[in-house]
Amino acid sequence: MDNERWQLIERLFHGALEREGGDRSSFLSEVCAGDESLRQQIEGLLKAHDRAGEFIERPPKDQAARALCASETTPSVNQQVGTYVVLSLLGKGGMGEVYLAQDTRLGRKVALKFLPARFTRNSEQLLRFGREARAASALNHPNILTVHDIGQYGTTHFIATEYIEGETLRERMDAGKLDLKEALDIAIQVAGALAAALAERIIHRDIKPENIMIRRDGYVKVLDFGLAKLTERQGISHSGQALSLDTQSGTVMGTINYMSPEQALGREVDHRTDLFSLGAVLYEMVTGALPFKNSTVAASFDALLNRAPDPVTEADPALPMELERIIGKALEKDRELRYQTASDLRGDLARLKRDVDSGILPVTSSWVRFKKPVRVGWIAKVSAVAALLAIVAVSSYLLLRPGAKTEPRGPDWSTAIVTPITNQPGEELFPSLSPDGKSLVYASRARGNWDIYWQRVGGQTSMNLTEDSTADDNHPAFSPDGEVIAFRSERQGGGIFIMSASGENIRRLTDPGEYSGYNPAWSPDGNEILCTKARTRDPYNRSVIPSRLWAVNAATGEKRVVTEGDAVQAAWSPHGHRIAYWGLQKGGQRDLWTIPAAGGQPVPVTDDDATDWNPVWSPDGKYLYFTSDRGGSMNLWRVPIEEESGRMLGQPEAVRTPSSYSQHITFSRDGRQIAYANAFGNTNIRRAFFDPVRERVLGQPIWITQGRRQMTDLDLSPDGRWVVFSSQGETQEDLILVRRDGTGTLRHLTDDIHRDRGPRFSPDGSQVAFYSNRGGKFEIWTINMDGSGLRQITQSTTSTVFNPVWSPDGTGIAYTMLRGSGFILDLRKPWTEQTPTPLPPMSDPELRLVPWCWSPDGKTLAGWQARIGQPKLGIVLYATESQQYEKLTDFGTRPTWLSDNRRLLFYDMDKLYLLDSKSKKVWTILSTEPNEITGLALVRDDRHIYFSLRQAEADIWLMSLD
Amino acid sequence: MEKRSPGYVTQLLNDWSDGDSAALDEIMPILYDELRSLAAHYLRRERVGHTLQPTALVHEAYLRLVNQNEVRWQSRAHFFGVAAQMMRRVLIDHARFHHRAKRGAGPLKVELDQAEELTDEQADDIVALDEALDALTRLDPRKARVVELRYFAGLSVEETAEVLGVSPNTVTRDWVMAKAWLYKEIKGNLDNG
Repeated sequence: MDNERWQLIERLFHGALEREGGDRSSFLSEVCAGDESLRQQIEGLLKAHDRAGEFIERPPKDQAARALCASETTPSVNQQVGTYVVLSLLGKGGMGEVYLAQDTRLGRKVALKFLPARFTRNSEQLLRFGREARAASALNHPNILTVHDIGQYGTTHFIATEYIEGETLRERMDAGKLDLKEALDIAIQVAGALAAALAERIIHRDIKPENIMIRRDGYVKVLDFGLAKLTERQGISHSGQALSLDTQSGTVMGTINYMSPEQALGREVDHRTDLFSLGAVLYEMVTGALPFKNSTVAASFDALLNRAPDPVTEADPALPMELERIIGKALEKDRELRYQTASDLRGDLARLKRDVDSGILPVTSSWVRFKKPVRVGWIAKVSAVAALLAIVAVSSYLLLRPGAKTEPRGPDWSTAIVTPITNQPGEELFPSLSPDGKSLVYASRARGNWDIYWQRVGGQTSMNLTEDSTADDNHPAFSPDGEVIAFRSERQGGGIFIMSASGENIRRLTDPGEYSGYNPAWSPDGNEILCTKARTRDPYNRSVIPSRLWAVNAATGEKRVVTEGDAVQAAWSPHGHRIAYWGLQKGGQRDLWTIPAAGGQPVPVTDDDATDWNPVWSPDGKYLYFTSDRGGSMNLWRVPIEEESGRMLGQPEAVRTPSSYSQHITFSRDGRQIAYANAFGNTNIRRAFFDPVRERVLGQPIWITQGRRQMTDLDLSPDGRWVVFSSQGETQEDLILVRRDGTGTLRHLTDDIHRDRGPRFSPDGSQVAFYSNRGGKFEIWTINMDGSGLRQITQSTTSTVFNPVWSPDGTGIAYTMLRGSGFILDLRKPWTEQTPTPLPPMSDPELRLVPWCWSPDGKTLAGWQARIGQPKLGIVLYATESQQYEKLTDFGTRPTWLSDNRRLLFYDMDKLYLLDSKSKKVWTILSTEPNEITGLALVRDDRHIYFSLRQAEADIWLMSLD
Repeated sequence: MEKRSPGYVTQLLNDWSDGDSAALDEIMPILYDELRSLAAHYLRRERVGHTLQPTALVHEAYLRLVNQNEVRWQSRAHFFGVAAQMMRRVLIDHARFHHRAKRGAGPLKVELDQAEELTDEQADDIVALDEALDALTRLDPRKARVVELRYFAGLSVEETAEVLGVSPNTVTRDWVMAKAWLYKEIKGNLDNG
């Protein structure tokens, strides 16, 4: 139900309540005016109102009291907990209480660890706990504490593990200094445990002396695999509830001593974080000091991020140089430079120990490494989801970060303090700072439709300036004097509107239609406003191409065209000389231009493969700032420029923000503050029951995966038991298998630095075809279900190849070439003997078919029609025998055949559709508004639909030099 | 400073209102412990036949934890907001646990004694209300918050209005609509009922 309808229902419901009997029914007839469903809804509510009586009127005080008392049960001695009898309390820690207990069934002693309820308070956490604990229980290694069982006592969850008599490494270190052999021996065993865990794809996340037990016989046991995940801070919950309900204080700070830099920054971690932590533990074992420990938390943080630790040989000149090298490599800040596997680290340690044992150890030289700042470029890649919360805590420490010296003229943003300004669920976009930098406006859909919100910088509450309108309001822009705000509104047919900074005196500036305009931007004198024909949000989410750019007189509404060429998200230079914008080149390249403000010849700023967009001038006119993926992630860049001529005065340089996707840049007038929208979000897989006869989705779709990753491009095994998907948006994009109901662990089919996308099961279910850049550029590959037999299928010399589609008999694969057409190849021949058959040209030579799904009878390929560099233009069929195309719709993507060879499912944005290829009729069968569908697959019996759903999040962040 | 002392909690609340989100992390366990000890006290009194106090647990926790002279109204609003969510969470967990325990699912069967005195019907009602409230949140978040504050935290109309920063009149209207909508959502088709 949309917001408008809901409000209408509410208004009429209250209206009806004020009336009685016949009065009420005539009121309803009048206001519903034949809208039967409206009337039914209101009457239903009235009926409910009459019957509800005492319903929810009395707070459930008794139940609440009982629930509270039952909620955190700790056992007492001699108490029976399932099959265990509690014997004594062993200890208490941050992760709960540990008891010694007797397993009455197997007659052995076990340790029971009870987890505080705050770690298992929400269901996602609980699910994760179960998954992690089960995975950890699969670890079978002499240096890993064995997990016997997980269970529940009351509402408290516990883990039963083997019972060790011994001491923790912390206790051991407190008792006295370790000698080198002992330290190496412990580190080697821990590395062995980590190597075994890596084989099962389990990350410990919290390697520290408290989690390492030393048995009396010298055996080392690593505790609590996977448990650390429970204490990680959560992102904002989907339900929009308070964001910190599940966190405990000081998570980030409390254990920073052994954290890797990526972990301390809240970035997604992999197994290499454990190697860093082990390096820190080893450092402490041999020197008695922590590598990055400093007098204040801030200084420790700075040291962790930016400084090499004092060499261990400085603390004790008798230590071997090789140890110094090993620890240095384990403590590399860039995990790409660190030890890549625990086995490698273990090997180096074992060799060193052998040499120490045999007495042939090299003597320490007087070589001293100077402490110096290290490069911090990788910080830009911080995963924004987690970083959001971490950065709140650490932003002030970034101030201490030494900056890489760049252009002397521009401000050095690497020393800026970065703070999130908004953190509501959903997206906050298009910030515009007031000229004095003290407040900002932005667009948000928090109340159902897009509205413009005002907020003081540093304040907590926002004010909805366009509350009165149920139409969408977007793209706010403060005027240069800060008095008024221009914005795009869909009210009254749509157009650019102007209101005072307090949201009053709204007036229309442009009329609906061809020149209604989007993304308004002011001239520096405040006389004109730039508008574009296209509505633009990001490089891949914009309307009409090409887009015209024109200026409207803010007083009279008179307009003049600046350029007809493709131009969006324009920005006027601060002294009025030029206008910057971005647009699409032929071939899909997104680049920046500037053009004289009066119109004329555009001058290119960028012309390369990187996606460059969102240009904004620095207030002194010396730089053009923009958003670009040229550094890997979508981040801020700038290029020195001559404002009068648009001539570039240097190369683009990175302005690093701690966000993984920065967009919508705005400056304060003094140039000391930048606000931008930090976009993040997740894509997860859902399953819906589908009735192919009644052509309806039954019930609510359920989540198959839950997490922070981008799980997209999914497909189902022919037997319907496995879902394969591509985990995207990271430097590493892997193919992952998950069971159809989402249970069990995720199984990686690929796990390396390459990008693997578009997986499709072969018809016999034995292989997966996908496209990957593992050979240098994107080509089609296949891999067996068990991860073996990786094979490159296409070896195109000319262009990128993507989207493999199996023929139903498994002998052929259709694929698409970038900027080219679709091809079909014969899988039975090697590449050298292939002559891939190109699909015949379409009637319009600019158009081509991107094949996506073969009908089960093998006669028809379904796909979508594309124009080079343009969005998708509708579903098209290609009959392989007659070689004829047939266009079915004007919108939609990834058509997927039902087993009847007649109907297809497809999606477009936030809707799932069913299409009858004979009648060309289209129905909506599911709406996921406002979240976008990004992938689709259907089980062969047509009864289960799997789809990936992107949940968008964006917050406004502020970088300040003051 | 003693963690449960009013001065300490009040300071945390004020810090939190000023944007220090770490303060909330500190408040949560303190509030939780306080609510639990109040609940235990309450149940003991009930067993020995004392008349039940009319005030809700959340109120008592507030009076005990927060220094009335120093707390700002925003902090007070934050306190009740988070307490209401906590009470909702606790009740839902309890109801779900009741179901699991009845089914004997999981690796371990747990004796039902903690879950006693909650009937199947009550547990069902709580779970159904929770789900319906989630649905209402998607439609109209403020109405869902009104229900959360009034039902789970036991706040009065005026107090709810203060927490949400709206007029008491708005709260009453929201309440009437939300109650009817939730009732309809939970009880299903009323024509047959």
